[in-house]
Amino acid sequence: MNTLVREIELPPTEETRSARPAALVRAVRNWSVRIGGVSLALLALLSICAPWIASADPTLLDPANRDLLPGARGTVMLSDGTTVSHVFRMGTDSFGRDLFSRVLHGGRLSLVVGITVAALSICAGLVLGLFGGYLRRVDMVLMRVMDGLMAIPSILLAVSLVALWSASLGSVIAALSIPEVPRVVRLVRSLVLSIREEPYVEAAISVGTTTGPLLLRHVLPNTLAPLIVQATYVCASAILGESILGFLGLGIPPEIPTWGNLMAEGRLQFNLYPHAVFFPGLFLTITVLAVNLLGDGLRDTLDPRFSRRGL
Amino acid sequence: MSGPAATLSIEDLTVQLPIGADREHAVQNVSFQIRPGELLCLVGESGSGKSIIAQTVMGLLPRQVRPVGGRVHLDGEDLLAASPRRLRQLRGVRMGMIFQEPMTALNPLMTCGAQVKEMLAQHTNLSAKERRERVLQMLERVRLPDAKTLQSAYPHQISGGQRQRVMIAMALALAPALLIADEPTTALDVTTQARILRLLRELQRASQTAVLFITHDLGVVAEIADRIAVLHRGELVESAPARELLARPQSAYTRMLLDSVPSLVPRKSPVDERAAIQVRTRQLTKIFDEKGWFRRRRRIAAAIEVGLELRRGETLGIVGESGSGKSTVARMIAHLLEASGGSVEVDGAEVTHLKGPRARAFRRKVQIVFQDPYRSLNPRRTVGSAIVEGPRNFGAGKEAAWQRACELMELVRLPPGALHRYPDEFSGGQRQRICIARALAVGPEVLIADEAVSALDVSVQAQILRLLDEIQERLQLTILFITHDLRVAAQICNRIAVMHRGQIVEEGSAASIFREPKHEYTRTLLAAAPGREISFKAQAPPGP
Repeated sequence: MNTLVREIELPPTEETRSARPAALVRAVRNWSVRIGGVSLALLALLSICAPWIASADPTLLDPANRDLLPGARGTVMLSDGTTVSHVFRMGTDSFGRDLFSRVLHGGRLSLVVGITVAALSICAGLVLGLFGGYLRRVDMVLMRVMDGLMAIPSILLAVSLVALWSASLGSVIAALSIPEVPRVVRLVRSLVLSIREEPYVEAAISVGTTTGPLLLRHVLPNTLAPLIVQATYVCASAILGESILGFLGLGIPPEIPTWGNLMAEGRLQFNLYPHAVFFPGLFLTITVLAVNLLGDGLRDTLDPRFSRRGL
Repeated sequence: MSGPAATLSIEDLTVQLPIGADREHAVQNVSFQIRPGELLCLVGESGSGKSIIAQTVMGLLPRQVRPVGGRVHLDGEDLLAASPRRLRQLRGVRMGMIFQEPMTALNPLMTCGAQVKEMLAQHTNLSAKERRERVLQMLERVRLPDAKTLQSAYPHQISGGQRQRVMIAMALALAPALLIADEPTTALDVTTQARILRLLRELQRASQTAVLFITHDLGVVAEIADRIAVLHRGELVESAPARELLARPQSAYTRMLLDSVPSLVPRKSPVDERAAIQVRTRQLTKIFDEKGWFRRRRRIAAAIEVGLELRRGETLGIVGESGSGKSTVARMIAHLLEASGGSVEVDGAEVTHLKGPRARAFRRKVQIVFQDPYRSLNPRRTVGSAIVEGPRNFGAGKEAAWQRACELMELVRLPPGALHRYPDEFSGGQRQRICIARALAVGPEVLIADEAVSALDVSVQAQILRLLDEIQERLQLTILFITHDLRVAAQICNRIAVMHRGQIVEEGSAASIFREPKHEYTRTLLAAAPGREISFKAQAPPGP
C-alpha cells in the first residue's frame, strides 16, 4: 500500500536565490577581523594624533630628565622657552627624551613603512604575476629570477640593499619591498594558473575578449581576496623588518624615532632600565599581532578555500 | 506491519539547519524503515536533505546542523542518544558506508589492501594471518580482477570503478547490518555504474544487508530499488514499494519527477539531407604531449581522425564516456583548443588555424555553453556585464548591447531585472540559462553545448532541454550537443555520433543508433543505461 505521507505543491520552476551574506558583511562578523581591525585602528589613531596626545617633543634632549622610570614627574621646556611640569608616562631614555612621545611618533613610521611596503610589493607582484601566469614565455624567465631572489634570506637582502644605498625612509621601504615581491609573484601566478582554467575565462575568450581586457576583467578581480590577505602578512613582516634594520643600526637614521631605533638605543642599558626596550617592544608586538589577526580573519572570510575552520 | 523487525527505523526525524540557511529544517518529520535484505532508495533533487539523513544515521552531521526531534534506531539501538565513541564502534561494524567519490574516501598514502586490513584490525581480534586471508577474500568477493596484485596498489593506480569496489569491500568487510550508499555511482561512467550496481545488488541479496541507497538518478532507482522514498525540500513526499511507486505515483511531485526523466525513445528524425553543411571536420586529431625535463614523454591521443558533418538547423549529439574525447572535439571546433591535425570547416571556409582578428571574427559564428553552471560565470561580475561583454567586444554600442541583453533574458525566461545581479544569487538552472543567453548574445549560427545539462537536477534539466529546442527553432541554430547521458541524447538529437577512446565508432540518426546499434561499444553503452526496462514517458514537447 502506498504510504502517502504528505502532498505538496509542485515546485516553482526553479529554486530561490541563495541567501549568502556578502563577503564584507561576513568579514565584519568575524571576531579576528573585529579585534585585529579595532586594535589596528586604535594604534593608527594614536600614531596620527601623537603630536597632540604626547605633548613633549620626541627629539628634545634634556640631561636633567635622564633615565626616568615610567610615571616619573619632571619639567620640560616647550619650544617657546617656557617650562611646564610633565608626567613621563613611559619614562625617559638616556638622553632625557620622553619615551611615550617617542613610541607614539615611532608608530607613525612603523605603520607608514608597513603599509607602503605592502602596497608596493603587492602592486609589483600583481603585475609580474599576472603576466607570468598568463604568458608562458615570460613565465620561464620571470620565475627563475624570482627563484634567485627567494634563495637569499630576505633580511640579509634588505640589509645589503640598505647598505648599498644611503639610509633613509625611502631606501628602507625599497629594501623591505624587494624581498617580498617574489612571494607575491608566486601567489599571484598560482592563482592565475588556476583561474585561467576556469570555464568563465574560456567563455570570455569564446565571446572574443582579448588578452588585456581578459586579465583586467576576469583574472585580476578574482585574485584580489587572497592578495588582501597576503598584504596583511607582508605588512606585519615589513614592520618587523624595519625594526630589525633599526635595531641593527642600518635603517632609518637614529635621530628619527622608530620602534627599532628605540629598542636599539635602549639595549645598552637594558639591565638597568628595561622600560626603554619594553614599551616600543610591546607596541611592536601588539601591532604585528593585530595585523596578523586581521589577516587570519580576512583569509577565513574572503577566501574560504584556505580556511579549515568553515563549514 | 508484518515481516522481520526493521534494521533501520527512522521516526519523525527533524534536523535543524543553522540560522541563515534557505530553510529552517533540513529534514522535517521524516519516517521510514528498512528491513533486513531490503534496499531502500532515498530519492530527491539537490538540496532535498537526503544526504543529511544519511549523515544523521552515521552521526557525521556538521556541528552547526543538529537533529531536534524524532528517533533513529539501528537494530533497536537509539543512534541519536549514542555517544560519539559508540557511534565510532557502530560505523564499520554495524553500518558500512560508501561515498560518491572513492578517490577522496580512500587514503591516498595507503595501499588498498592495507586499508581493508586496518578496518579489520580496528574492529576484530583476527590474527595477522587471518586478516591477510580475509582481505584477499573480500577483494575477490567484490570481483576485483587479480586481487592479489591489486591489494598492494595505491588508490590512484586503479580505475574509478575499481576504487568503488575497494570501498564496497571495506564497507562490507565486517558484515554490517546496514549499508549506507550516498550517490555511490554518480561519479562513474555508465558502463561501470551498471557493473557496480549489479555487484551491490548481488552482495546485498547474499548477505541480507539492509541498504539505504541515496541517489538523484531515477534510472538507477528503477534498476535496483525494493522500496522508494521520495524527498522534497526536507519532507517525505511518498514512500512505497518500487514497482508500485514507479507505476502509480501518488503525489504530484513524484509524478513531476518521473515525468522529467527523459525517455530512451528517440524523438526527432534527421533533418533534410538537402540542408547545407555548416560545420565539417576532417580527420580532426588532438594529441596532448606531456613534456617534462626529467620525466619520460607521454603522448595522449584525445581525438583521432574525427570526421563530423553538421547540417544547418540540426542537432548532432556526441555521446561517450568520460575520457572518450568528446569535449576535446567540441573545444577544437570552438577554437578554444588548437588541433594537432586535420581541419575544421565552417560554412565551407577552413578555420582550423586562424589567428588574431580573423580568429576573433570567427568566434561570432560558433559559441559554447559549458557543463558547470557554477564555474562558467565570473563570480565578480554581474550577469548583465557577462552577457554584454560579447557584443561590446564586437563593437556594439553600450545601449544597443544592453537592449539585446534584455531581449535575450526574455528569450531564456529570466526577468531583465536579473541583469544587475551577481551569479551567486541564481540557481544552477538559472545560471545555465544565463550562460545560454551569453552565448547567444553575439548571434552565433552554431551552438555547442558541452554537457550543458549534466550538472542539473532532472526537472531543471527537462526545462533547459525544452528551452534549447525552442531557441533552436526560433533562431534556426545548429547545435552540437555533447553528453554522456543517452536519455538526454535521445530527446534532443537528430543524429548521434558515439565516441570511444578518441574515435567515432558509430554515427547515424538517433533512431537507428537506439534501435539497431551496429558497433559493439554502442550496444554495451545502451545495455548499461540504468532503468531501461521502465518506460519513462517523459519527453520534451513534441517537435515540429
